[in-house]
Amino acid sequence: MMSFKWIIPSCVALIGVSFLSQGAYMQIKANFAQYLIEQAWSKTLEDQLPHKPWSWADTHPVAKLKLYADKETDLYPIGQPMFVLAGASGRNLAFGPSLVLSGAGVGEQGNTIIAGHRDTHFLPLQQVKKGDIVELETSYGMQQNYLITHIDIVHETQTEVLNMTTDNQLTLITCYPFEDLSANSDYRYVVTAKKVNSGHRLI
Amino acid sequence: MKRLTRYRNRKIPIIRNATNKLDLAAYGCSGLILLALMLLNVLFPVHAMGSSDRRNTGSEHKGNDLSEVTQGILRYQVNGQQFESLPLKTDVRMKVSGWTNRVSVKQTFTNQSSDWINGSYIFPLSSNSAVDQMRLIIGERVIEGDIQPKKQAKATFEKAKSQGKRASLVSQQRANIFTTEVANLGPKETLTVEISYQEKLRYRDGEFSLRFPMTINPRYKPGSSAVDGETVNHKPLNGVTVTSELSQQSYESLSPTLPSSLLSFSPEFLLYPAADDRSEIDYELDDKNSDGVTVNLLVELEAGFNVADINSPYQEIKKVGAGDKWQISLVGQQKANKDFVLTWRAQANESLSPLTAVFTQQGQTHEVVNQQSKEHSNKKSNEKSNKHIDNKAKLNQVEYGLVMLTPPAASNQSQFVQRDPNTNDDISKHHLPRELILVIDTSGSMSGGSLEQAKQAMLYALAGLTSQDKFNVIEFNHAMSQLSEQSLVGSSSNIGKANQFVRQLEANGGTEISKALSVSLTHAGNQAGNHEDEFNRAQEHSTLLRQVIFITDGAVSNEHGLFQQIEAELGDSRLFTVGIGSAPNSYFMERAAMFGRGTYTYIGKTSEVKSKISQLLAKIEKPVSTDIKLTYQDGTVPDYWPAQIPDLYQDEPLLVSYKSPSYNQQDLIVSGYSQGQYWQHQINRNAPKQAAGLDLIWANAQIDAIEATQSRSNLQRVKKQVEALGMKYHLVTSQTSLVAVDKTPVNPMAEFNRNQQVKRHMPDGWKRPQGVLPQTATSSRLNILIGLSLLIIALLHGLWLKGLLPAQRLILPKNNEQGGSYDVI
Repeated sequence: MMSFKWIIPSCVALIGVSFLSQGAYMQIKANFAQYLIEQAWSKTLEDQLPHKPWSWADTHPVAKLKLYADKETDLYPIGQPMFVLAGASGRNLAFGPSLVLSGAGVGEQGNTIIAGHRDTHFLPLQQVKKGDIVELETSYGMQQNYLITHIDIVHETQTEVLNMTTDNQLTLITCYPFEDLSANSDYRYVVTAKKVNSGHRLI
Repeated sequence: MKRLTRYRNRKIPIIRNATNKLDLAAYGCSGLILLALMLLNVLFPVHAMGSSDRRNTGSEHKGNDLSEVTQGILRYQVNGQQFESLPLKTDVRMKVSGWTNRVSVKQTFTNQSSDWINGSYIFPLSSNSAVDQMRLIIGERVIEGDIQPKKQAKATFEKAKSQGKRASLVSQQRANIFTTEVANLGPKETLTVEISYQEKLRYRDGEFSLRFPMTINPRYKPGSSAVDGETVNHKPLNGVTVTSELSQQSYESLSPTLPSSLLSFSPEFLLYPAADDRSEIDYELDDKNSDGVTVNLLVELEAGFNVADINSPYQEIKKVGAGDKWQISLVGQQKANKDFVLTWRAQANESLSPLTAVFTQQGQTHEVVNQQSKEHSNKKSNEKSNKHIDNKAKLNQVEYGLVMLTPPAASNQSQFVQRDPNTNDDISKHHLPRELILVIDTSGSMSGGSLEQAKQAMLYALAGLTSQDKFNVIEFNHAMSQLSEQSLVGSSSNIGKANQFVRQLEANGGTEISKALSVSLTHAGNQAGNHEDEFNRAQEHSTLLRQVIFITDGAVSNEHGLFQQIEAELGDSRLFTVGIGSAPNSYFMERAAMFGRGTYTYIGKTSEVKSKISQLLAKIEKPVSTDIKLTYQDGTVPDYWPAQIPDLYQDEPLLVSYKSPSYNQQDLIVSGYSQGQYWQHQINRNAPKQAAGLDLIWANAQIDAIEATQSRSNLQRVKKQVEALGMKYHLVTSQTSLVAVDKTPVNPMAEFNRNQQVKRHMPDGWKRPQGVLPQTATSSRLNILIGLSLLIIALLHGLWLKGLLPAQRLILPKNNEQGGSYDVI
């Protein structure tokens, strides 16, 4: 009789633990993977060749991304630096922000598009404002600065934001609204930034 | 009973002995719960606030809209800013002659407010339309639009706008999406912008068809999104039955679902979805009042042969006429919610000779207009003016033509010389045996939904095989494996094996596309060549079409190397790429298909798998002619577009535009290979039919071809070429726009104009081929939340069972008074 009683709470606890560990796993994966990717990136910076962050990976880091808030001309960083992976597939996005391959490459002329998860890597995006700075480091160690010019919310079918541009544009995409919990969202938060003169470093 | 007593016995001593400890544990537990709740609050604080914000704006909306909605106009207020949808009436007139269709679209903007406004309107046109004319009509006056390079045209328009002059601008957004903008539309005033374009008709299976996109289907479902809990009923397609009250309601519930708090960023952009939905309401309101459709359509059909079977699958039409001249209009009371499609064919007794093979035109359509605008634009670039002067001399001697290329079996026309009648019968009657190679990408990037879609596509393609066919299945990630070494016969047991093979595929590892490509493209030819003699190999080639269906998301980095590889290894194979997933690398896929002389199909959703794959299979299982060439009798090549003529499939003749000096009156020769047999037709140009606007079609085809070769490296050159062609032929292209400006300023306070967005048509092709933006959220936080809540519930339950909940603890001592040693404060 006693054991009967305890079936329900222990089942509930078990399910709870499994949910919790699933959720935590995603978060941990997202955070931990960045360390491995960072190692791969430092190798890439040395020889400019793609390096897989782990041996069975289907991707490699292509850039390092930093966000800077422009607080009365004094720049301070928002969030941690992130390492951008090649190919915005569901799997890559779990490990880090990813470069959409149909757009321009990092540092190339055109529209460079980077997508990231709103609940992990791109969570800091909700803090950025027009006039803030995005810094992108290419595999040659070049720092490129982009000034945020637009922030739009679009429906997921509005793929205009992926269109090629003639100038150097950086488009960061994440799901919207940020506080939403589910894995599906119809809206995207699109941060558009234009390249600014990178002759002198802003930071 | 025994147990229970034991339990009691055991429990009481515990309580008695360890009162202090238990106290500690209970408080610890409640502390833990509090901590967890706090954690939850910290994790998800904004959600509740956000939604209440939205609710507020929602109620504001309701108040405003109910009082201010008037007929034909819809106001909506966002963050104190007023937006209105601008009513627009569209008049379409089509004139069909021969194989071309001249369409004029009149867009009438009406300003029903008491302010000056600037309007803009995004609309679709069919994808091969060459827009060459725009006129701004103000009352009685007509101002002809000038062609200008895109940026210059925009500047001209903006200048006129700020000077308070009426102006209009037509520019291209994408291949089939255009924008009309009007400036300084006065209170209660009406402006009409007339746009004209030329297009080729479609011809397939003996049937001509034309299409005018005017879809206004509800595509957005903001109500079902996570932004707001409110659900919005889908407005029924047949809006006639919907009362305007209902549609107002759904409008109101729609607007708050837009993330309105964010409109301050970029209102135009955000309002599109709403504008789209609103358009329907406008139509409904108009319907109620004016007893007609907002799109009026009139087609004058001069087919050049006796017409039968005039049909419009989506709309009810009225036909007047006889023989080869007909007038077709839409029956009133119809809602323009589907694309207008008109099909017709030749009467049965004429079926053998209705098709003239060639239409021609002398000189350009827009010579005169060009010369005027040339003075204007040539100041900018000397290089261009030289070109123009050269052309001016030749202009009148140039002949533009449109020629129909028909594969052998469909070419029963008397004027064709058939060199190879034997093959014709074979091709038309039999299902061609073929070798179908299905290649599937199982790299890590395909994991999840993509692989499922790809598998379904494969299974569907496998199901369509017959025992005459041969097939093989290849999967690749960083390694590659195939169903069998040699292609298998399409027997049911083999297909069963293949199904098994496909089902057990899993996505993992990297993407090494090159090896899979080379195996799928060259495998049969090479291996057969090694083992069998040349004759057998030739036999194999002539009887088996080798078609490779390549399913991938195209996440590759060495694109150019792969293109070269495809070009080098293609041989007689044809490569059809199928893009899967939310954001496949279409650049790679389209070009891979181009180099592989096949087509690119994009599948965005699982529900589309069946229809898209069956379309592709139906097309490629028809007999095909390859290596199509168009030459003069003496072997020289005319200037024709598309320059790389694609394979000709049965019952799908191709229309090719050419340009030729008019002194060259040689006949044209079309040649190609069908099942290894050479064939050619001679096309007589002595008695061509005259048609208008062929130069526009020629230029448009050339622009399409040039833009298709666009890559990151030649972007600038392509743009220059497109701009030059657009300027020369007076065409709206990605680099040129038409602009018309009235001379006299009418609005002294132009800077205070409001900007308005006209409800927008969404073309069919807008959404599907482009897919959706990548999914950028996980359920990690939801899972953590659920997990934590469940744990707390379990904990509370456990405590309750133990009788350790704070409330229970207060009561417990009374029950256990005989236990005695409990002291409660």
